[in-house]
Amino acid sequence: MTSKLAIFIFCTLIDNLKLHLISGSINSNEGEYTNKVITLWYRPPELLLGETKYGTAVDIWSAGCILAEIILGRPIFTGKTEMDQLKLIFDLMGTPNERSWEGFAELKLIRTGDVTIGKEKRPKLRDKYGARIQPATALSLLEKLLELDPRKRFTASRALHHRYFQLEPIAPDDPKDLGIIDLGGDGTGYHEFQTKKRRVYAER
Amino acid sequence: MREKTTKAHSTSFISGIKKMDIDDDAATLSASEYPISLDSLPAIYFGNDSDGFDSQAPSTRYNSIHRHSLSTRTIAHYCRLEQIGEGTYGQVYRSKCLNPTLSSPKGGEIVALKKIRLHHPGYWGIPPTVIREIKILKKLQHKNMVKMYEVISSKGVEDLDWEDERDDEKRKREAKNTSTTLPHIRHEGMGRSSLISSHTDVAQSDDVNAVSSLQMLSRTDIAKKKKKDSMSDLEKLRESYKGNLFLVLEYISHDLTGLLDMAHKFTEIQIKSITKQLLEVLEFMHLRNYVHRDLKVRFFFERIVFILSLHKSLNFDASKTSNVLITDTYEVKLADFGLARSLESSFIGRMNHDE
Repeated sequence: MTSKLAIFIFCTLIDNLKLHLISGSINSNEGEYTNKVITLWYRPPELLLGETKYGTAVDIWSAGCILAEIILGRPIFTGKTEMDQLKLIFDLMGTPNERSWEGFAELKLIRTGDVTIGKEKRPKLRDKYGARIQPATALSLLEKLLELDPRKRFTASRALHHRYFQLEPIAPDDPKDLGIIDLGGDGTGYHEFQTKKRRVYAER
Repeated sequence: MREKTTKAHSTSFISGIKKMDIDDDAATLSASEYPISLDSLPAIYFGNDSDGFDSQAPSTRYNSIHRHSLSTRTIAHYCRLEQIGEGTYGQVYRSKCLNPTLSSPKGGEIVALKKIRLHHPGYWGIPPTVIREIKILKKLQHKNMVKMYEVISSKGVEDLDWEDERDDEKRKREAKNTSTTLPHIRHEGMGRSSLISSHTDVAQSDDVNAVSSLQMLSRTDIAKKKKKDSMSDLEKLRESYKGNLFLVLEYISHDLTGLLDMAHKFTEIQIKSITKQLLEVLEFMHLRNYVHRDLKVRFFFERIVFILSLHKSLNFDASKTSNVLITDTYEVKLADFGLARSLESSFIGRMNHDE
């Protein structure tokens, strides 16, 4: 027990290294996919609400989070727990209702009452990030990728036909035309693991 | 030792716990059947080798290859240069190919070696998610998916990671209490088991070497297995595999998190290109009914989950590194398909059975 405690303390110390573990699954039901996939910050609302019959739309939500993160330079939803994550999503994208997300009330955690949708909130993405997420077409694509209802969420094919990709500047067919990433350094690359390591060394 | 400096890895001991997400074809595998699964894997070569880290001079290693059959591909054909990541089942290294074949990378080519521990306190054999990843990488090829060259083995045990050593030290102390010597314990790769299984005093047995691989046996069971003669064939087979598996993957210099952490500012057209490529590879996968299920730029540590994870019945499965990689020339490469799966089976006749 002492050692477990010690390890816990140690892990708290290295918390800034932010090692991730996906949350534990207690999913004993045979017959469905586990909903405990995808790192919390990139996990779509249907999974957070206990959906186990999900499809490819889960990846699209994650892609939306990634698009927002590249533009903003930091993750868009940074929940500490699953409930916290849901709250952050609803705060920004609005609370679901039968009109915006048909059948959401049938989702497991809503049905069991583990999650209650409180006061209705309107989407705030445009108010909050309208100025920072530019061009406007990027914001409108983001809204389609971060659609709460997985059935309304864009598919990858549909997203690729979005106006964002048709307006200038147009992404080249061959990304090599964009040039070369040159960050100086020793040319060994910048993986998250390495940048952290470098930072640890630098702080000493 | 190299790993000691990378203190980020304290949590990797949690990684092995588990029930895993079993794939359609892999569904027939259970822990007890792992030895068989070695044969069913595509293009895996097992062979003898010295398990060289880069401390060994390339020339020596070259000779060691020639002592063995040239048809076997092992870690000795590569030289590990630097750790670049931490997967669920082991470290990821930037490595150089020393001894190419037709199917392997070219000589001198830089690749990423993803280590898969086969002998781990939380599991034994090839984890189903690894089988799944190998299958997917063999089946799906796309310009925005990381390429897998080959799967190689190491026979014999790796340099233990620092946390393994720490746990092994603890084990040694416990062993002293039970006045038993543990000649081989350091090489059993069972360091982390105390955290995830309740029997920390495996050391009671005379035949530690034999017993240590049988992580799931209760103490009474262990007592029964004291004599080597009484080992079943399966147990002997388990003992005979103590090495690691390495996926030889295309080396990509950057990941999105690394770049964002460096405060690298992308221009509008670069962002557009990255998003487009990401959507293109997702379209490719989705049209083939594959879902990645683990897309992310960065990960973080859920402390509560960590505590819960000490309870072995909980399920953990996620790669611990960023998996949207970027080449020097802004090409997006998706990696880590361990959680990816085909949706087909659920739609065709298996609506009620999955996972």
